[in-house]
Amino acid sequence: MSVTANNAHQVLELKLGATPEDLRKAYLALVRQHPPDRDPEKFRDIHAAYQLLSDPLAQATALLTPSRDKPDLMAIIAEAEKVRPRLAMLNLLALGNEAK
Amino acid sequence: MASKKSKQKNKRKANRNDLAKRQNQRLEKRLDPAAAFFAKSLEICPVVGPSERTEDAAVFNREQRLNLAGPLQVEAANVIESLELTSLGQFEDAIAKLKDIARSSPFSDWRLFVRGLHAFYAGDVEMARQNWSKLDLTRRPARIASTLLLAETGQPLSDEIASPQKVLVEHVQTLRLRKIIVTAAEAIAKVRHRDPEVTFSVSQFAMLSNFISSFRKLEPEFVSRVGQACVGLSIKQGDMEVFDRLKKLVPGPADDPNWNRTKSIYMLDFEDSEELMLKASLAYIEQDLPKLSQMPEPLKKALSCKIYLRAATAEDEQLDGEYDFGSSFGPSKVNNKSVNSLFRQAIQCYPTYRLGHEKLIASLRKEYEWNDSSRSGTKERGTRLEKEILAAKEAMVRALPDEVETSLELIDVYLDEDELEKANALVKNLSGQRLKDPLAKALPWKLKLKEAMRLSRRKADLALASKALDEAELLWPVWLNKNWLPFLKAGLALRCGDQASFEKLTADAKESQKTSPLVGDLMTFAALQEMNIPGPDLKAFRTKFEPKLEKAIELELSDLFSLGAFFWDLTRTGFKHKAYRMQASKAGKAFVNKLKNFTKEDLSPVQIDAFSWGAFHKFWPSGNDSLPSPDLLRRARKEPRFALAILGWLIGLSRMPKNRITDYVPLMVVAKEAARTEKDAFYRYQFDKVSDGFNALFQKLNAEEERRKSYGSRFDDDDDEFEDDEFDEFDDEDEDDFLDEEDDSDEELCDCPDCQADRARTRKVFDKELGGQVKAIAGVFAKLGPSGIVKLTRIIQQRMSPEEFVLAIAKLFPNYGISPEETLKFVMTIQNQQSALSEDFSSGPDPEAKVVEQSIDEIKAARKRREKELERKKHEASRSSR
Repeated sequence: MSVTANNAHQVLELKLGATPEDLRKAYLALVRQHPPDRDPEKFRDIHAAYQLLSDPLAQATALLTPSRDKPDLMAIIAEAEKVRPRLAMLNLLALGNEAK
Repeated sequence: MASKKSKQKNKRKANRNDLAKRQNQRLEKRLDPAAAFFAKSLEICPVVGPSERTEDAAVFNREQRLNLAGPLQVEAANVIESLELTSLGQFEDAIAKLKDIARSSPFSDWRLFVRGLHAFYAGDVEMARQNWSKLDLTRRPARIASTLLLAETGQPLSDEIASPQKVLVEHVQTLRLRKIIVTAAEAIAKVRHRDPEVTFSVSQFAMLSNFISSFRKLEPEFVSRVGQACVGLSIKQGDMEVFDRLKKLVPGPADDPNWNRTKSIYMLDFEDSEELMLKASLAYIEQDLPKLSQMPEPLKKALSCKIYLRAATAEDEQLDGEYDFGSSFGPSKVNNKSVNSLFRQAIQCYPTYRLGHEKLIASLRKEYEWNDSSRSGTKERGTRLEKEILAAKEAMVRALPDEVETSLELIDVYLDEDELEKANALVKNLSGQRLKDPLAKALPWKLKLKEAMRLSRRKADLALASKALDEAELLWPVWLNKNWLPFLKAGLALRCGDQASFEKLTADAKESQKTSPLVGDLMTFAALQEMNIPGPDLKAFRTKFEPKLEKAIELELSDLFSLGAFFWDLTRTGFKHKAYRMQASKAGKAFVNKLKNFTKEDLSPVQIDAFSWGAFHKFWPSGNDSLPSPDLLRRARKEPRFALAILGWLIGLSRMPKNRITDYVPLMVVAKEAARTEKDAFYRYQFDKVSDGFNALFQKLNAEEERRKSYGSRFDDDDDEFEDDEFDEFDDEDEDDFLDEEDDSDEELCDCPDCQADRARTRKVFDKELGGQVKAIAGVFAKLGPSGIVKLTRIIQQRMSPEEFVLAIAKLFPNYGISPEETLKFVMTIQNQQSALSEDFSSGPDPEAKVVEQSIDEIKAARKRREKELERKKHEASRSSR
């Protein structure tokens, strides 16, 4: 996974408005989960995301750099398919109708 | 060309419209199943059963809800909201809604149910079952849980619960919200385009519009991601119309809600779109950013700074273009105010961003130089600009106290203006840092020399001045020629009234320098002036050289070289001597003019110094035609300091022709190598600095070129054609020399224009293949390691000298996308292996080396065969047509 300004928050499991303290906490927690000797690839992503988010200028540069890749719509869809489907509320409630 | 383009555009548009109609029809069919599911889902509604508890019915029936007591109505409403949030995937918020429901509440079963439901949706069926096992089996939550488990695992929650209707189980299995939404999104993604340039079509736009309006409330996050990806796709096809329509339909990402930032980036790739780009950029800074409360302030400031900088740079480049185009007539850099104002805004947003300061200073300098050289320039404007440059530099050093180069420049200015306090403050600041720049290390010397000059003003301080000059002599930098020192001593002797010593010291200095009499006179005058000899006494010395410099064009080239060498020492140490200020420009122009007839192969140190001076002050014109001639480039490859001068000059150009930059990579290799071996500290530092600067320029131009090419086929086909031609020309000249020196066939080839054109085409195909080979060789080298490199290098060296080989690689590799660093690394590895190479040379043929040699021969043979084959086919075709 290549870390970009658009997915750096996602890599560190953070929301957009995360404070520097949140950033550091999330980074340390993830590094503990994915230490470089055991999971070097994931660690590289986490570290790259941390470096990007802790430097406003680097983050701004990344946000202002046009992406070379075309967005992969099918990848977004494939990711969505992994999530268990949910039912609309009324349909869900209907499942409890008494048997006739 | 324009009409051809517009016809092609119209044709593409018509094709797209046809395609859109057909795709719309297909879309309707595809969306039908989803619509059918929805229709069916409307039929599946909760119904109040005969034994239904009011609390359970209240969750979906308003009348039943109103029958409840007030607090219970609130709890029922919370359960409904929680279920709604769950259906939207917002599990945390859904749980939060239920936190006030007590265990004793009749709605506590719903709280348990929602917890289990979240585990179920997360795929943890066992956890769900555990949660649900505590439910009251006679109530609706237990029945829903049982149906879900039955559909998922075939096992109900409990056998005590009556089997649900079959249709409900099927419903769970088939009608799941996300599945429908994903199916609809897939329909958009799977649309095929006949035109390969189209990445997002009008018909997809229609599908997306339906998709968003149908599912926005149900799956906001997924719908938003799909919509944003579609905007991203539309950007790739260079169609503003689709993008503009899409950005109204799809809300932008959290950090660019109105797509203004995206638009400003997108506009960069369109010709003449600076105004639109600026408009979108300013809208983002002024309207969007203040509303983004979640975005950290430092990021907002960094974004504003970068956007202002980009806008300023674009406008500056536009002004440059106008200036180049109409410099003899009208448009000029008279008004750079708006550009400088944007640079200043950038600095204000983020004062510690170095580039902002550098760009502002460069812009002001450019304006100053224009004012200086233009007929319409004025003295007042020059003075104002000097002040602005000074203020910009001071602001930079204030914001970035570790900025060495600008601090050094400011120290020079302060020393010139006798503002010793300010100079000392900066020197003190620099003394706390580890400095690499030899000029910074030489500051104590410079301060002492300036002190001697200042002390020579008052007769009472002359003894102190003499002492200071002696101290300066002790501190004299090793890398700097001491030839000016005896003249300064002579000057001080005259200031002390010792005419005899002055005459003797001057005569000795001139004798020992062996420089031209003109330069001797100039150095004498410069020393006298610095040692504060009164004006009337100076006149006699001035008249010895000034009339000659007035007619600099009539001077001998040897005089100009000596003059240039002296001026170079003044330049590199930052001594802006008054005589120098007055005469340098005239002498520089004469020097460059006379160089046209200079053909001497080997350059003396004095000549190289003079070249460095000419290059530093950009006395060479900077037009495309005035780039250093191949002859100069050849000489520069042999002489690192000359290469340094040319590289420094190139970096200082406001615009570098992109297609020529690769020609100078060999010079960078030469400079980088010299940085390792040079003994002179000043030049060692400069070699490193300038080669890094050139590398940065190369990377920047390459990145720009790559971005332009990714849109090039759509926007400027003509340029691409031009570049291909240029590329061919280069390949013909250089690459053939490198790999194909034996390629001259004994057979005579037909010289008719058709055959020539055919050969050119074939050559182009093979050049591409060879390009691949070069890359492959580089890759192989990287894998082979030093011994492998030795082997392959040996083969190639049988065909050319090591020096030629290194230069050929340095020139060839960057043309095939191999970065200067990689090239340099490769060249250095070879050079590091020189001794091993010579040892290996004597150890006889190597089987692996033979294989590599054979493969190079095979490439050449294949090329030859292909050329002949095409030649033969061509002739056969022309015979049959006759």
